[in-house]
Amino acid sequence: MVWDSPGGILGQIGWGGAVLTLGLTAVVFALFLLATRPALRVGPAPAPLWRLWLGGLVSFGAAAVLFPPALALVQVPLQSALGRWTMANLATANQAILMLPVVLASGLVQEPVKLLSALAGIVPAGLARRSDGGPAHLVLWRAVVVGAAAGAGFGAIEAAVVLSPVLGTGLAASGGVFALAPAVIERFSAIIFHLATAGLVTFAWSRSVGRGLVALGALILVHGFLNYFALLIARPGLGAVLATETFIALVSVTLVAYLVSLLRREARKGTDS
Amino acid sequence: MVKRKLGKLGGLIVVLGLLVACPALSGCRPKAPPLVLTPPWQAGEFSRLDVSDSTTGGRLGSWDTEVERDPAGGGYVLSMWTNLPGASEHSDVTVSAADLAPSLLEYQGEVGEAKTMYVLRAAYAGGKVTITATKDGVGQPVPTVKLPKGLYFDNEQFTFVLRALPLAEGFQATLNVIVTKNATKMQISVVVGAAESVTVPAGTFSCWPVELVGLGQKAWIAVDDPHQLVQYSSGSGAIISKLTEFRPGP
Repeated sequence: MVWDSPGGILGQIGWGGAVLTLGLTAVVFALFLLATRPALRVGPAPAPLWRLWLGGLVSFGAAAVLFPPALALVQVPLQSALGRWTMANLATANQAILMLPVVLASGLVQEPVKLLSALAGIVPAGLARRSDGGPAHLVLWRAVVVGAAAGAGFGAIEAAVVLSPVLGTGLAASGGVFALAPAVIERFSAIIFHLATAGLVTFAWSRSVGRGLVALGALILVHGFLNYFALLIARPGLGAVLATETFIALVSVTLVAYLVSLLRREARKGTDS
Repeated sequence: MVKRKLGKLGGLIVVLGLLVACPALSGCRPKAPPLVLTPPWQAGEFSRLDVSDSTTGGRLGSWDTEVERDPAGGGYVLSMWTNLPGASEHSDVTVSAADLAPSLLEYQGEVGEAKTMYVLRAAYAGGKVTITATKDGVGQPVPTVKLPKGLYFDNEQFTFVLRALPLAEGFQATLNVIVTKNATKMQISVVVGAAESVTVPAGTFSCWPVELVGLGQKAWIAVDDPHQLVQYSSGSGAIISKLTEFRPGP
């Protein structure tokens, strides 16, 4: 797979992978909206609803557009440099130690890109100024939806890049759809993960920039460690594949559940007041 | 208020859980006894293996190995030649006789349809490997590699190292390997199964099957001296090399 140029990354995407990915992303996003729907019901809207969808679309698109250059021009060169550094400076051949800084860099690049994409959608969504009006919890919910859309956009294009080649070879192989299942399940979890982390950072950012930066730092670590453990667990064989996928799914679902609980709590607070 | 704290705690637990689990999963294993290597070969030894596609049975090429005394010291020069479609390679690794620690690798390879010529020299000294390389005669930037603590080997001498291990059923070891061609290092875990009888063109041998865990590779090393490399499979069994000729040396 070619990760060293934006064109090389985009060149991986096929129609099959794109359609499958859009389907997966739509399901994840719909479930997220459904889970946080109580927040919709109360109070006057801070801006017309179409502006929320416009903001969501902008952040989704921004994340999808930023994914290839962020990976090819920042993450891959950074990881390559870190890899050279670990080889030249650490007196060990233990991959678990050598790959730690390299893998952690994935969160360092991807989480800020998702935040930038979310911020790009905040303006068209009519949420740029706190004085724009509307109940605080509803403003917060809308901001999180825009942030989650950025995460979904990032996860979607990543899934399209990963799934397209697998789709090409997977279906041709004798395993057919069954052979594709592990990759599809893994990407489904990854989209949830990207949505959750971007949503959590936007949630914190909407309350204050300081909280946003703290959340960004924490989720950079969570992202890096998720990738790190996924690599540590990953081994050939069905058992290891199941363990890896279960681990990724558990972390992703935990994070999104945490985000949903935060939004519901804010909605309850808004209703009480 | 309590719920709010619990909410924050939830996020913290996820992060801390990952941090705490890190060393647990990353290999905090009990220390293994020191590895004792016994070179089983004599200077002048020569082996030839035929490399073939295990599915079609078609011959792909040859893999020769040779052992000579290091004229400059008391160790050995372990040489390999592989002639396969898309790659013809030759390597000489100079090692110490005591623990097979490498001191010098000289490699030459003609790779790919364009027959790109790579020449590489790796000097093991001062706790690091200093690599100089050329591609079609043009110097390439190659970073140094810091050597791991304990025993380490060059990737080009790996099959020789397998022959020098105290193999037995159930034997396990993790070896530090420097892949100088890529300026990287890695650990390869080997596990030995029950002895098997293996028939190759050079004869029938009782062998220790040595699995290279997670790499899809397996070596069959003769139980009896001089512990020849009788068979080797790679690519999860797709490519198989079988001993066709063995000369133990004078």
